[in-house]
Order: sequence, then structure tokens, then C-alpha cells
Amino acid sequence: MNSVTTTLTKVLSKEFYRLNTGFFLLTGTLTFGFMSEVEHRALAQSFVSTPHLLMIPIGVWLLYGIKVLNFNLQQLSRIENQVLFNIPFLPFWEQARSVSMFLLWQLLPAIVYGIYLLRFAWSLPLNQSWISISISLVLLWSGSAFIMIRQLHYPHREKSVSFLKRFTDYQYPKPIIQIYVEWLLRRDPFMLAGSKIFAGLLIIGICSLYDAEYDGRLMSMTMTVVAMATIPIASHIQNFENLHVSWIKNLPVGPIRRYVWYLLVLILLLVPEIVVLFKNFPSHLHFHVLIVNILYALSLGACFFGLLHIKGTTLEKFTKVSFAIFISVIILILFKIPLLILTGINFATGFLIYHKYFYLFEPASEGTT
Amino acid sequence: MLEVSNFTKSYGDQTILTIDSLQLKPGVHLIKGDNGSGKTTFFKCLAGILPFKGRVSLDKLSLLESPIAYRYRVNFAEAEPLYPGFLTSKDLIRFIGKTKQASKDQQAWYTSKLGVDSFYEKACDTYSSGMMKKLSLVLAFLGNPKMIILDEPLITLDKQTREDLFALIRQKAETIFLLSSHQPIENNLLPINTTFIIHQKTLHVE
Repeated sequence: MNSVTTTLTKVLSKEFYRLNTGFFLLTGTLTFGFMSEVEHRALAQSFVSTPHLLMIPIGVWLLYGIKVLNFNLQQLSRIENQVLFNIPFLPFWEQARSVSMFLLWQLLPAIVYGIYLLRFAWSLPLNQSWISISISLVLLWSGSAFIMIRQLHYPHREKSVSFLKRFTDYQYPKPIIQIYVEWLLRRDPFMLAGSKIFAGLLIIGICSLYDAEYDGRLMSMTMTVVAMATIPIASHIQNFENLHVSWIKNLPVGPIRRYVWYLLVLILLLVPEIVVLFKNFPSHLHFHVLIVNILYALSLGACFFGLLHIKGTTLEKFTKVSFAIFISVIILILFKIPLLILTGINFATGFLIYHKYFYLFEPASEGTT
Repeated sequence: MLEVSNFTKSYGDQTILTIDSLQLKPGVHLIKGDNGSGKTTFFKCLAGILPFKGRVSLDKLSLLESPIAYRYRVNFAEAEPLYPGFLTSKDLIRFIGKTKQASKDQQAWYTSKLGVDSFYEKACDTYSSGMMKKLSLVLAFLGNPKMIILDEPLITLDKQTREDLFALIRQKAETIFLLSSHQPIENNLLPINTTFIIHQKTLHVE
């Protein structure tokens, strides 16, 4: 590996895997933890059997490619990585080779699975499928390399604003709730989409398991897991308020109103889960169980938001605390403690802690200037 | 009047700044200090953005005991302001103007006075640092502040905006202005009432 590839690998590839360890662990657990080899083979054969089904893995590769490129472009915009803009001074083929090589590492999960599918398509034989897979992988790789090289050559292209954005910006000022939601959507769309897909599949899975022998406790435990998936959202919003727009603390807005802002953001972001729950809710459970469960998930999310503000909270400490809460509420649910009581406790605890610590909280990265 | 007493700001076990007693009347007060001396930290504490130990009050309203009422009266503009790129000046001026109870007429007046109207409906990610600075200055004047803290207000400002800013400051004679600046301020354009210097982790009158 030459020095340019080594540098790109260190700055972009290794960093990509390091920062996305959680994502890969979750994906690995979901794919290899729950499926046997026979099931993997059956799935691969079904993917390559028709062009329509083949669009599923190709779509996933495309999303993965966007995630990789998004990460790389963000890294390139960092001041400490400006040294990479010397790469265009190299001969073109050397640039292409270095960029292709480091991208190979980043795209490896998609390429390895592509080769796995290719083997089935070749052996069956399904000519259309193996040709489609080959072309998709080559396009994914070469297209990513082209975008990266273009970005390295033209790093400071003028930003253009779409007609739609100009029109909406002209028409109305954004309300604060939209500012929070839009920031989250732009900041970490994959986290948001991933948590929604995970929660949605979990709710569908549990609802399909339900029969008349189960009471509402299984649903409550499911909603506990759904609420756990809101922790990254709470953490992002807290970072937004304390690091990115710290001036927001100077505004004369009381903790109650700020807490309500967060709850409204959370309600908006939980709409997909609520819709899935409404559509799949077991028919023998009462309607009020559904409403209480939604309120309960919301209250747990609100409680986590409050806990994040305790002075001196680090991610490590918070992970321990949230795990302890998770286990505790599962036990309380199993012992039939009414969900409304847990909901009330969560809301009250979250608000009291938030009220006490909001102004006292200080992000770890604040420094002196 | 701004009153500060027994003020201490620390990060962990490292003390950044201590002030036994400080009283500021309406007028322009300049704080000087080397890079890293704690000027911005002090400003952020006064603006209610960072926590601290001690007592800070403005017109007898304590920052800790009356956090909302205090924040109505104190505005702050950062040295290098950053706003989410997808927001426009209009979004920010409307939002902050609403929380600071600034009328739309007042918002429009400052917007025009500091030259923000030419990019009012454009998203922040298309702004230069000078445009960002102008926007932050408009936001700092909104409402009815009794104290306006301007951290390095002159950097990236063009000559005309600089003069407009000084004129706006001169007009608000009943307001406390707390400024920091590494650039010289012409006394004929902006008379400074007091100049402080942060030295050895405390504030001295120069």
C-alpha cells in the first residue's frame, strides 16, 4: 500500500469503522445472530431469483454507498484533513488507484455480500442476475471513487440553494420544533432511519406473536425497548443545545417550555412507531392499553433526556444508568405495576432533573478563550 | 447596574477567573486580555450560557434566582457566531425576536440598519463570516436589553457596518455594553467608559 492510500485509509476508512462500530455490531447481530446458514442461503437465492427482489440488496448497497460518501465528504471538510487536498497534484492514475483502494476497504461489506450473491447467480445459472450484480458493484465502487476525486479537485464549490428551499424560506420562518427536527434529520439521518426501522420491525414482530394468552405486559416491554431507541435522539438534541447553538441558553425561555419543546419533537419523531403500533395492535387488547403504552414510551424518552443533563454525566455513566433503568422497568412491568404510574414517575423524574440541571449543565468540550 | 460578587469560574479543578466585586453602570466597558485569558468564558457566564459560582445580578435581578427575567435583559453576540446552515436570518430573527419580545418593526429596523436585509431570506450556509457577524449583531440588539455583551464585535466587519454599529451603541445610552476587542476602537467614534484587563485570572481596571 503506498503512502497516499495509507493516509486515506487511516483518515477515512479506519475512522469510518471506528465511528460506526455500533452500526456494524447491530447489523452483524441482526444478520448473523438470528439467521442460520441455511436461511442465509435461502435468502440469497430468493434475492437473485428475480430482478425485482434483486433491487433490495442493490438498494441497500446504494444506501450504504451514500452513507460512506457522506462520511468522507464530512471528514474532508474538517480543517485537520485539509492536507488531503494535495492529492490532486499526483498523476491521475495514482490518484485513482489510491482513492479506489481506500474505498475498497470502506465498501467491503457491500462487496463481500455482492460476491456471495454472485456465486449463487453464477451457479444456478441466472445470467441477468449476475450481470446486474457485477454492474451494480462496479458502479458503486467506480462512482464513489469518481465523487471522491471530484471533491478533492473542487473542494470549495459554490453552494447552490434549491428552488424549493428558497421558496419555503421566503414563505415562512421555521418554528422552533421544525428547527430541532430538521437539524436531527440533517445531522444523523441514518441513526434516525435505523432506529425507526428497528422499532417498527420490533413492534410488527411482537404484535404478530400476540395471542389471547398474553396480557399488555409484553407490549409494555416492547415499548420500553422502543423508548431505549430514543436515547440517541435525546443525546443529539442535548448536544445541539449545548454545543452547536449554545446561545439558546441565553434566551428567556423557562425550563417548562423547553421541556415541552423536547416532548413535541419526540412526539413528531415517534409518529412512525405510533402508526405501526396502531396498524398492528393486537385486537384483543383494549384501546386504552395502546394509548397508555404510547404515553409510557414518550415518558421514558423524556426521562432519559432529563437524566442526560445531570452535571458530570458521561456517555459511559449514562449507558450504565439507562441499562439499570431498562432492567428495573422490565421487572416492574413483570410484577404488574400499573403502566400509568410508571409513566407519571418517568415524566416527573425527567422534568425535575431537567429543571434542576438545565442551567448547570456544561458540555465537556467547553474551553477557555 | 450590573453587580458581580464572589465570582469564580472553573473547569474541573482549574480556576479560570475570579472576581471579588464588580459594578458596571450604563455605558461602554471594554475588557482586554490575552488569548485564553477567559474573556469569552466570562461573557458566557454573564449571558447565562455557562454555570459559575458567585452572584451576578442586573438591576437587582439575580441570574440564578430569576433566570428568565435576567435573560430578558441580557443579550450576547459571540466572537465567531455559528448558526445551523439550513436556517435563514429571517428564521433566527423571528425566533429570537419572539422570545426576547422584539416587535416586528424593531426586527425590521435593526435588520435594515446593519445591512442584513440583503440576505434576510437566504440560508446561513451561504453566508460569509462578515454576514454571519452582522446577523449576530442584529440578534444582540433585539428586545429591550439592559446589557448587551459583544465578544469581538469588530472582526470581519466592513468600515460602514462598524460605524453603524458604533452609532447604534451610542444611541442606547441607558444600556450597559460589555465589549472585548483585539482591534483598536477610536475614542471619537465610541467613547469607552472603563477598560478592564484580565491578568492573573482576575479583572483589573486598566
